[in-house]
Amino acid sequence: MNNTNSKPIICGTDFSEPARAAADAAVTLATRFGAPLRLVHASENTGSHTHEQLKTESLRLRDAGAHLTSEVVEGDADEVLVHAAKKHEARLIVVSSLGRRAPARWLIGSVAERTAESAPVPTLVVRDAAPFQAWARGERALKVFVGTDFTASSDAALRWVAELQKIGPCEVTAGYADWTPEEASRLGVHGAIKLVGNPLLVQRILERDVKAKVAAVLGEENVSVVVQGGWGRTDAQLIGMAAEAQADIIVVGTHQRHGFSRLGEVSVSRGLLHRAPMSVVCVPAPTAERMEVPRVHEFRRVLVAVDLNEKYGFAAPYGYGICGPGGTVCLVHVVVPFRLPNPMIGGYYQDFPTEKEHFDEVAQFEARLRALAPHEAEARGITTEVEVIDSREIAQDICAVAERFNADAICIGSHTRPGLGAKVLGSVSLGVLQQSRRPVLVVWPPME
Amino acid sequence: MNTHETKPILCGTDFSENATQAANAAAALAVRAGQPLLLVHVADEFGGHAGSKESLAAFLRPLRKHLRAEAARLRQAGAEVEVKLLDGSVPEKAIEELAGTQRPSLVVVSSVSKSAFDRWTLGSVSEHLAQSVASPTLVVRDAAPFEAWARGERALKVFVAADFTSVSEAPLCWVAALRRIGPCEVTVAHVDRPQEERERLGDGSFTFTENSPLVQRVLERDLKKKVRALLGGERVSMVVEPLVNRADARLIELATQAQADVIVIGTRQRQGLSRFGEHSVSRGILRHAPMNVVCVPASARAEEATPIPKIQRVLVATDFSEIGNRAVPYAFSLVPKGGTVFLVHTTPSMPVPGLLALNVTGKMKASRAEHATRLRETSAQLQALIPRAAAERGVASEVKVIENADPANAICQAARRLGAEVICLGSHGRSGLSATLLGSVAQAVMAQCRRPVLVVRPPAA
Repeated sequence: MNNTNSKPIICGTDFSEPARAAADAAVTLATRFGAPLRLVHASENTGSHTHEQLKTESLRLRDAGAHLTSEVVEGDADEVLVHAAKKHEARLIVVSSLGRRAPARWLIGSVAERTAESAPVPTLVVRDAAPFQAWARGERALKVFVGTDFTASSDAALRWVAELQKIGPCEVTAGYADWTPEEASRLGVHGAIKLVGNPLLVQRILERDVKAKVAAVLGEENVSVVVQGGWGRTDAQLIGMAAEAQADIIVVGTHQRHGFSRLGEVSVSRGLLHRAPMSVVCVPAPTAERMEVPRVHEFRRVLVAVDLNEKYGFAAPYGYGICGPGGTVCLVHVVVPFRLPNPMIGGYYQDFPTEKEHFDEVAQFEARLRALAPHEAEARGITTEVEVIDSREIAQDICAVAERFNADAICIGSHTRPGLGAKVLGSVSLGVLQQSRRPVLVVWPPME
Repeated sequence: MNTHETKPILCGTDFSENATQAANAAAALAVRAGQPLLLVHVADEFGGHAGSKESLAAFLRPLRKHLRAEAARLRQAGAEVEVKLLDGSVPEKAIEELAGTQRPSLVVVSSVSKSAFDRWTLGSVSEHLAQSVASPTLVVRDAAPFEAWARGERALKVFVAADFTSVSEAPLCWVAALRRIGPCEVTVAHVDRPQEERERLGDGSFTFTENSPLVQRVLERDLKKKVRALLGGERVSMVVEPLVNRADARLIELATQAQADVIVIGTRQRQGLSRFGEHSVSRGILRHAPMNVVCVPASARAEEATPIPKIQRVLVATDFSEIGNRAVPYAFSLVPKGGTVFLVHTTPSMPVPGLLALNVTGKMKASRAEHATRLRETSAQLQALIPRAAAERGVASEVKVIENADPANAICQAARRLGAEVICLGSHGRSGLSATLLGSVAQAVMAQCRRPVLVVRPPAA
């Protein structure tokens, strides 16, 4: 841990008013973290005037209590900062927010933005140092808004917030802004979608999942979770949510896309850097070379797709087998959907199930699904949920149930066809394998 | 047999000497299990007396008397006996029908009494029942061991033929139930075809009539695991023997060596055309075994809820790509404390220089050295993939570098050799058009291996 404590915070300055604010914030963080502060000025002409200014600034900051070194480096500001961060294995880069207005920014880009997009460490872009100073004096908790989604980059952001929590009191709000039509289709929730807000089911599921995700990193206490659906831009939504939470800083993960891939997708972090009225922290996503050894997670929620019509219950025990103690197993069976009869076709009504018959059938299937639960399940503390779904697109809808259930893994039995030499993956299991991003356990029927 | 407490044991009799033996054995079992005995005789000439009531009554009277006398005899042994006189021109059909309604825990019949020619043309009652009744069928050749066992004089010597299909689960469970009602000396035997096994396990040794040490070890381990799961491990001796000829003959030989009182075997009960496709081991044993035989249909176990499979050994294969490595922690998450994860990487075997090249020995040596270094490096690379959490969770890990040009085949063989319950693989989800394609290795493994496969896909962005 000594090692991480000595990781410096790098603060870039151009001696402007915003840069001073940034330096103030950097000092408070450095004292809180117990980390040394490196004040860096990048300049094309390194005259004596520059050194003078840097000296004055470092004296001012030393008075504020920082353990400080300073340097002037020749070059472009963002490159200098990123290079320094790499060289000194910094824990954080602190810069001021851009002073330039729209046209100039559009042409030249801002230092803050380019730093955030290429630095291997988190970048704090300061708009107002006052909250940090008040926080450092212990007068108030820092109000942190962290933007999450279900990617690895947002995990990095959450972990950074966890670190921040360790050094001082924080009021954390985790926000998830979703694009409603996409979520509705992912979760298989059909029907009309309002212009504002998520359908109730989508909202409930997302709140549950975001809560679980946030709790895994930050714990369950001291974190409030906000989920907001909409049709607009994610960055704008996040800023709105952060403003509502009266946040002092917004923390987001960034993918740091470069080159062409940058054009393909809208960068949320860039939008926040441009428009957020409060300070912003951009945490880079762990890349392949920076990726830590992944953590081992037990499967807590396992979805088992069962075909009751074909004695394909054999997959169920495996679902329980891979589920950790205290977990939940959801058994799903798919039935052909109830169709409205066409009155124009004579005799069609005769063997057509009434709605009641259909629901009776569903209830029967539910009972049979429950009967599949092994006796030991209870002893292991595994709870069983059952779901019977109407579906024509079976694989797709099984994936949607997995999304709704937030399954850690999907377990599915595959068919073997008699007479074929090699086993052929059934169309449903193949479809699930292709469409779902979750781990899939394919189980073959017992050998006869 | 506790679960079948109310279910009767059904015994068919034709009052012959053999049938008396069967009834004695049935009574012994009924006494031990505390189950009622249902003694049945099929009067097969009802038709001849259809016209007159008097002649039918006269025909049935001695049969009733006989049946009652037999029941009285068996009651003396302590059994609770009911009798039933059935009408039917074909005895096996009548008993089959009764078994369908009564759902007995066991059907007991005597062994064949017909001559070989009759049997060949007509089939035997016992054989027919064993192939069609949903309950286990005991075909009695000698009741003495059962009687001695029921009196508590000796343990019953039971010989179970097992393989690794679901068919042999039912007989093992049946023996487990039998052990609960009285002492049994159990021998479980598995006969294998060495050549098939070598291929399945990827064993390169040249043995044809006997098992190589590897095959023997793997089969013994797998058999032990299966027996322990279904029968409990104690007081069971296990035999794994190679096979060159017919399985039924070899099993009878082994049972005779073990001086077994009864052979227990599973049957698929193939009906109709599928019966001709494969040679039935159970039928062969039923015909030729000199001792008692119990045929347990595979369906006898289907009623019970399957237990949760234990996952103790997981194989994870990686090609060291990012996606392949992603599968590793998932493998560890599958295994509870005390389990083992095998990290496997397949690599082509050592390149051999052409025989016509100059300095063959020198090149060979260099190639060998280079290959050895590569293997070492690969192992180290695998070792580095083991998550730190593994030790905390109490999960052991082993790394294996396998030389085989066909990764899917190598993975399947390794899984069988190592006895892995689950195979874990990363699958490449390529971007763009082929995003929905499944990795070829993952697909090939699933096509070749019956073990469950956990496919780990790359995350969304």
